[in-house]
Amino acid sequence: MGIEKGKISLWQAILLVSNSILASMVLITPALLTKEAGQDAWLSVLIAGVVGCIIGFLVISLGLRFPKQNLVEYSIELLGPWFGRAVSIIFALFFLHLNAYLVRAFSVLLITETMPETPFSVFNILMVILVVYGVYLGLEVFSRVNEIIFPLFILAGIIIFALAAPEMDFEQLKPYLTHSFPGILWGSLILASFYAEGAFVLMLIPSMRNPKEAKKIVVPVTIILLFVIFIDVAGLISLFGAQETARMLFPTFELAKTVHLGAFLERIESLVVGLWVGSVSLKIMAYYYVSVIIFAEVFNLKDYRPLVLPYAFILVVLSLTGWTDTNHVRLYLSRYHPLLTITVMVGTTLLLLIASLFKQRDTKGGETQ
Amino acid sequence: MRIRVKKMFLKVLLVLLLGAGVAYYEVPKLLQQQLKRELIVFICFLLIGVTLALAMILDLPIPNPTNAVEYIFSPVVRMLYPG
Repeated sequence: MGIEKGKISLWQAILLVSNSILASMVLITPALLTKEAGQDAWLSVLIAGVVGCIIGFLVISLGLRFPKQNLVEYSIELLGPWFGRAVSIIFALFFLHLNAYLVRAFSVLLITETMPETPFSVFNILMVILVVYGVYLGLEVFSRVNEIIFPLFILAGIIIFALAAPEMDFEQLKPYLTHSFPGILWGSLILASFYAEGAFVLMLIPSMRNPKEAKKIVVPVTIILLFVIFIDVAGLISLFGAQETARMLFPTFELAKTVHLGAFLERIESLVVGLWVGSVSLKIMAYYYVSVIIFAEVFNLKDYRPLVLPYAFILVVLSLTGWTDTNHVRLYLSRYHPLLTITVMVGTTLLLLIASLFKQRDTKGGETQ
Repeated sequence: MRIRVKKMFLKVLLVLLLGAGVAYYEVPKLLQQQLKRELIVFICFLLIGVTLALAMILDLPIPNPTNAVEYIFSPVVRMLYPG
């Protein structure tokens, strides 16, 4: 058993994983995808959906082999105390780095779109304070908050797309399939790496009320994600055209800006910002929680809470110093980050799966003898 | 030049105060519960965090994981990245 004593339900787990993957996916990936795949980016989405589903099943099948233990515990069991801990720490550090990027992206969005004169560090620090509070309160708390906020987020998204639909020109999606295939594939790699982030669920499976149900997480999450991001990308291309979308920093946000209902409903993007802040905060909370609890487990602590505050310092510093400017972030995101994510997430999963297969064969051989 | 030094000094003080504040908040709890291992790990993390924050304020070079990632993966990117 691990440190976490709280329990989450299957539905909460589904929503938590969905939010954690979706919150930054909708905002960041459309621009990256259309840059690589042009107007065929919707095809990248479909390919990524299939790949993501496969990754999901891989991850869950690993988790199901050890339903009562979290990642750290079975890493140590399978790979030995030193190597198992090393692998877990890499997992945790990956999420620390990812969180730093997310905090930064959040600040950039708020500064460029709503409050341009606020210095950068202010939003970073505020966001981290909020996230620290959530993580301190524990897994059950932010899972329940997510249960409320994530459906609202989706609802707002649907409404906005419905309102923007009259302006969409589906001819923009043509000519079909003329873009270079490697570009489409790279786009789907970028998107699939977001699905791969879902491997964090390996730390949550033992905290589910019924861990054996974990395999029911994969399909609903994939469907939700596929549905949302497909409409997002196809809608954006239809509205703005592929080249414009690729140029923008936050195309989904620009879409929210263009929505209006006569003179009645305007400036709806303020609502979007509010919900998006909530959504991304929960994502950062989930990853922060997973990171900190991995460290706590690795050092065999009784509780992860003492580590939360010092970790905040590291997170803030990293978010301010990790990247030099927006262009650097974009380059990093479109080229290096997908590779890193897939390597760490899928690599760890495969490593542990293969190790567990070996262990099973060993014990089987021992029993027959 | 002087104002810059003054601002940095202020920020350094702020960071140290925050660090001390975090310590004041957590350490008594940990001592009370006799959690020695937690205390050691906590202090390590706090020291690392505060050191990084001070280094950032004083414009000292900080090891940057992003650069490490770019360094490690650049051959792969060069091979695979289309366009």
